[in-house]
Amino acid sequence: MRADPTFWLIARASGLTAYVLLTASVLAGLVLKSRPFRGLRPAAVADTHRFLALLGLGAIALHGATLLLDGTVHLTPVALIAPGASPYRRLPVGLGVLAAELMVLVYVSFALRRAIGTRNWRRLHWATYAIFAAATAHGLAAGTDTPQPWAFAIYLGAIGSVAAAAAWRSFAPPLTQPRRTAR
Amino acid sequence: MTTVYRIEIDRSLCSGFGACVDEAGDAFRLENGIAVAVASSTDPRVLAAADACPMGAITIIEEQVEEAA
Amino acid sequence: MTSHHGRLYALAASILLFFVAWAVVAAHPWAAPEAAARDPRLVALAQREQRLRNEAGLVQRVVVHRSQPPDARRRNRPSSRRCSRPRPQRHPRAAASAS
Repeated sequence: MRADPTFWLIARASGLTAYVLLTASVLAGLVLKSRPFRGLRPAAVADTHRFLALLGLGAIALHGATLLLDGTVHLTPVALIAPGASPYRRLPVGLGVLAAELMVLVYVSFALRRAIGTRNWRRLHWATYAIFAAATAHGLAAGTDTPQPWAFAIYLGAIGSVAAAAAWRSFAPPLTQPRRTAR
Repeated sequence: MTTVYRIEIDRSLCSGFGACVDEAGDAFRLENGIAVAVASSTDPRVLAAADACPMGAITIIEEQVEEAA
Repeated sequence: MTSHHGRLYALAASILLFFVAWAVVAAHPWAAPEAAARDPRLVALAQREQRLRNEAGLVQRVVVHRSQPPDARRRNRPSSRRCSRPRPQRHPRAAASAS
């Protein structure tokens, strides 16, 4: 007789949601610098970028909590904190734990940027690429739904869009506003 | 009458993105990772610079000034 | 600057996304069945299960048939040897038990 799968299902759904939110946050951050869309105010994009990251952290918290509560894989609280301590798929889960902890660090660093110095804060922010890579690897290797075509499409779409946005940010100069008279 | 733009930068918000420098390099520059600006400018690009700041750290105050004779 | 619109859209979209993901994931609750089918032990187990289920059905029918009284058994016998009119009792012992 099978046990109630609700927690297991929520764990999978929240994991996928967290991944999409992380991708959206990364894309918003890349759009900030390269500004491909003239209609978007950078200050609004910046706030949305941070809020998406916060929502992503919320989804990750739900993901971890439901994995603890579920009996399908026997995870201990230590496995959620220490990368590599999981009995189930040690490396992929460890990458997920690492990505989550880095994400918390980067999120908190913004509030502390006066204390750590703006230049150091900007250097730390480069870690978001590592966060995205680790989260993608975690999803692909540890994700229950990865064999499903729709899930695989999500991963490919995320990787493709982040790669494209990162290339744009690196190579294209930001669009400047056309000269206009005083408002 | 010319329009003069007084520029104020909130240093607690500035995070050194440099979008203002991209928009109006004559009026803005980055010093030690924080933007500094000339006190005032007649270049309307400073408005775009204020708009471009991701932190909303730039305030522009418009003043109408009599042209010097 | 707090972008209230941006936050609202982000929150609404993420809630929607979560529930859609939950629904899609629930449509395939267990690990992909193809993966399970590849395990030969599980395939053999599934075949044995099916065989036992078929046998159980047959056994159940035999048990039900044998638990019925004799003339009911004769009536319900699933054979082609059935008469259209009731047959007279031929055996004296059958006649005694029928009364």
